[in-house]
Amino acid sequence: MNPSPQRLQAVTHEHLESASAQHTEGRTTVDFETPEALIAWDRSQTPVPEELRARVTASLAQPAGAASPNGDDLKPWWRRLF
Amino acid sequence: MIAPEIQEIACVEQGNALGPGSSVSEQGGFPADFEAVYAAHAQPVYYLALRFLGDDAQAQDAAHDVFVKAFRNFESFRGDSEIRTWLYRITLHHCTNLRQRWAARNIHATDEASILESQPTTAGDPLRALETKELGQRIQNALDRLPEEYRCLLLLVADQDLSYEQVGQITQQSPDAVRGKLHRARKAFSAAFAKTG
Repeated sequence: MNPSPQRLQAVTHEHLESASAQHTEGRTTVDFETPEALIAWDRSQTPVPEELRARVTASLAQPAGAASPNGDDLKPWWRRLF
Repeated sequence: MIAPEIQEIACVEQGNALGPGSSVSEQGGFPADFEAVYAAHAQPVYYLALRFLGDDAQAQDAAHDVFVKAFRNFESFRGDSEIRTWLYRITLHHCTNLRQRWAARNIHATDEASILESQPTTAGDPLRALETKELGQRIQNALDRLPEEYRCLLLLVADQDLSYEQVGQITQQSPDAVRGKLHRARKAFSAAFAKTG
């Protein structure tokens, strides 16, 4: 992946191997080589909500075509529109 | 710009067969083989949906639907691509459909305050969590200003496990086209990101 000529600066407490960093007063200003490096860092900081796994598990326990656990399928069509 | 493989997605939409090793475990969890799929791919799928849709609740719904569809149609996974590529294709197709439905109903994107409110963050140091949240919002705002095609490319290329060829497979274009568009997408993102500071 080719680096972009424009570097992106972000303030963070994290130290990144792929980025150069300047330390000031306990904070770290990080230069990201590319937008995708910044996005990759953001992705690494974004946890999957715990409840998602439980929802998927509950849905898979239902036969195919059954109502979804969030109840959307139980609402009348006009309520699902709004 | 997302041009999903209609046939493959059609299998996903219509099929109802359970995947291999399909019985649900006694604990009510995933079958063993799907456990591994979820563990390896839940985070990238959820993140792609989150940044594509810009809303945590919608992203959770989308990721839920993607995994349920994928599992129920595991047999339609032909094995000629990576599971990650297959799941990304389903995710982008699903999210694109959602956005088109919202557009058709004139549903507007959530405002910045609610985006910030809905950003998931890592637990621990509150200052760090706040910074991560704010940076996540800046990234989201910058992505929202990009054409959908650029947004998709950047989100896919950010997955360092994917090659340009795989990104091309997902977005139905050649690796050279991915390279060319990515160059413009980077410039557009950098300009948009600078405006969010």
